[in-house]
Amino acid sequence: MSATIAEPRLVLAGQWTLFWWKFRRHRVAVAGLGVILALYLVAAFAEFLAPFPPDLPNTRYTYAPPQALHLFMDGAFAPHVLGYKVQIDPVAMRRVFVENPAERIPVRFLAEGPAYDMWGLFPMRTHLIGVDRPGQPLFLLGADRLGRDLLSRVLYATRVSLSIGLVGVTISLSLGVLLGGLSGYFGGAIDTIIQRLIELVRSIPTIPLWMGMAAAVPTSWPPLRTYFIITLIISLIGWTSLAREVRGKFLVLRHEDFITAARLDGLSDLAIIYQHMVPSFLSHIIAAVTLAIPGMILAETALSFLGIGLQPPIVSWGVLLQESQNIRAVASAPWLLFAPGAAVVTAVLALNFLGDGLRDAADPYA
Amino acid sequence: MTLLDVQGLKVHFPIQSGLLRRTTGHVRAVDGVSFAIQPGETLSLVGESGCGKTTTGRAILRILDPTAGTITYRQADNTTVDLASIDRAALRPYRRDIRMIFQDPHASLNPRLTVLEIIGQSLRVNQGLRGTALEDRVADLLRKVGLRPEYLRRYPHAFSGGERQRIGIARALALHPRLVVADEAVSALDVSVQAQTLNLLQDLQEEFRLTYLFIAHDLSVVEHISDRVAVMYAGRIVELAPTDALFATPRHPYTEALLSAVPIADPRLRGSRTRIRLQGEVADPARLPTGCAFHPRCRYADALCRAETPVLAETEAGHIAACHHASTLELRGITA
Repeated sequence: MSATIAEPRLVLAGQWTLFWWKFRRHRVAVAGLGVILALYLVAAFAEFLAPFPPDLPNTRYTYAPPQALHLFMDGAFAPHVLGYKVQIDPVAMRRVFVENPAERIPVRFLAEGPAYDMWGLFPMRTHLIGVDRPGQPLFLLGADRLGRDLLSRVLYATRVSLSIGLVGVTISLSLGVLLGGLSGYFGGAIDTIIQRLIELVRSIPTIPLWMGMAAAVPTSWPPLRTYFIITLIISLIGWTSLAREVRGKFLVLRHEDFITAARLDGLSDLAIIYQHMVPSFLSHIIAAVTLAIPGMILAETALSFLGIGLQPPIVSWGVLLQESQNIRAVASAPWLLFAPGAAVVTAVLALNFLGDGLRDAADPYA
Repeated sequence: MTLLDVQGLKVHFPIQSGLLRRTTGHVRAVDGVSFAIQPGETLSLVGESGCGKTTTGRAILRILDPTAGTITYRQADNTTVDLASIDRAALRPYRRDIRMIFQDPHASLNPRLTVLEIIGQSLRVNQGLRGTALEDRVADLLRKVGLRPEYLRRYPHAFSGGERQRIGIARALALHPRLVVADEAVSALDVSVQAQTLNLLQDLQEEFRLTYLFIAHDLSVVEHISDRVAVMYAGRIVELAPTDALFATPRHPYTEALLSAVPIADPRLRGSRTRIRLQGEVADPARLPTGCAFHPRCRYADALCRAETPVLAETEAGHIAACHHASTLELRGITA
């Protein structure tokens, strides 16, 4: 008998330990995981991180450009921004903002600012950064056409856009696992019906379908209800690929020898599904879900950009992009386009890298 | 006192085609197989890939449902039951008595479970063992198959192929079975590990008074372990005899061809024997040839073989063969 001389750490390593070891070697995916965690933290604490509420206008500073954050003043650490001076551009005949070195606005950490309810529950006034007096300009990413702080709006939009991805994927996953599981487990006529349904759903062009359904949502509905309906519409397409994934796994596993062995051991069908099958494809499902979230986010962004998704006063990345699609914004306030655009690209890229890494790690025995 | 009596076992799979899944034919994987296993003996089923030997084993365990035939199993209290016809739900007590060792030691162990969970599964389900009682039993089983009991919490990926197959054997033995169906139990192993595993199986047979149905494609493996050998071709048994008689005086041309392929370990004897090369492929069980299924590949075939299907007939005591010319042909065997 050849003794297995291996590191004790390895021989005792279970599925998830191996999963993590393999995932850890995928550097880009680990970076993606970091970015995603940071983004979801932003989503969770948007009220606290944003210096202002997303809809607080400041009519003196419409289309104000981004300010530079100066960290030192006269050699000492004293973060501040410079105030704006209004000049008239004689050629274009319009107002332009320039920095006013004479006006220094100190930026305070954990400053008292406009009141808000944390998670809609706890009344608070403390913001991560803020200014001393209300009305003072602090536009690190610039201001929009009503003088609202774009940074605050992007932070709040992160919450809506990322949660649409999560909620949408949850609905897709429930539908996908249920229908895919039925299809793969029972086979036969049920399988045929569900697979033909999936083919039908997938053959419909998505944008016109979404447009049709989104257009049917009454504009008089409250924003929250619209939000959920839009999420539902997006996930009505998303479930099909997950259902196929689950069905495929069921079909493969059904004929594995260790499943036969479990049946011979006297395990019931339900016990086989929960103790053998689900653990075998759980990691694959997690990877598939991670790769499905960016699709959801892009779908929401696309719908909102076309003006048929979420509507103001809800702020999502798509809504922000939609607001920036006019010649004035593109010509003289490009930050309105870049900030939410960069947020979308960052989130989608990070999720894709993370999903790639998870997929590679999903089969630690391969 | 027969332990297991298989009579006229058939397993056919429908061939479906077209959009409406109409049945256009049948694959006759097992087409009328009969044999009996006595308590304490080892009966081997041999044949090429696709001859139906694995399907026969799986039908006995009711992993597959037989199309026809009876599988009469004699229980410890001497009552008999037909495993081919009883309801799947009523199979549970018999699945404790008849256990299986799988061919592929990689696919048959769930990589996500520890050795304790894999071997202990049947004990947990059937005997309600938990905690230290379960651990003690599994550790005991590991010792029995020659593995260290400390390996309890390791995962299958930490073991070699031979060791994994020992885990599979321990799993089969956990419930004190009476009959073990070993489906190509050593085919996936190296030759040196094969010998160790065969010796282990023989030791365990003595210790637990086990009966084996040993499914294999390699006659040199079979010679070592079996009391009797059944040769299968295209879903049927073509010859069944005590091991010595089958190896020394085969009565079916197919057996002769299989025997001529057994490698000779002694290099001085190399070349002293001509190898029979069979022409063509094993018969397609969906479109069997007329008459004797082996006739397109048989070097002794004549008009009778093409026209009529031979039946199994006794040539000597306990030696049966399905060949029209069984009594006239002088076939070469292996003299040990």
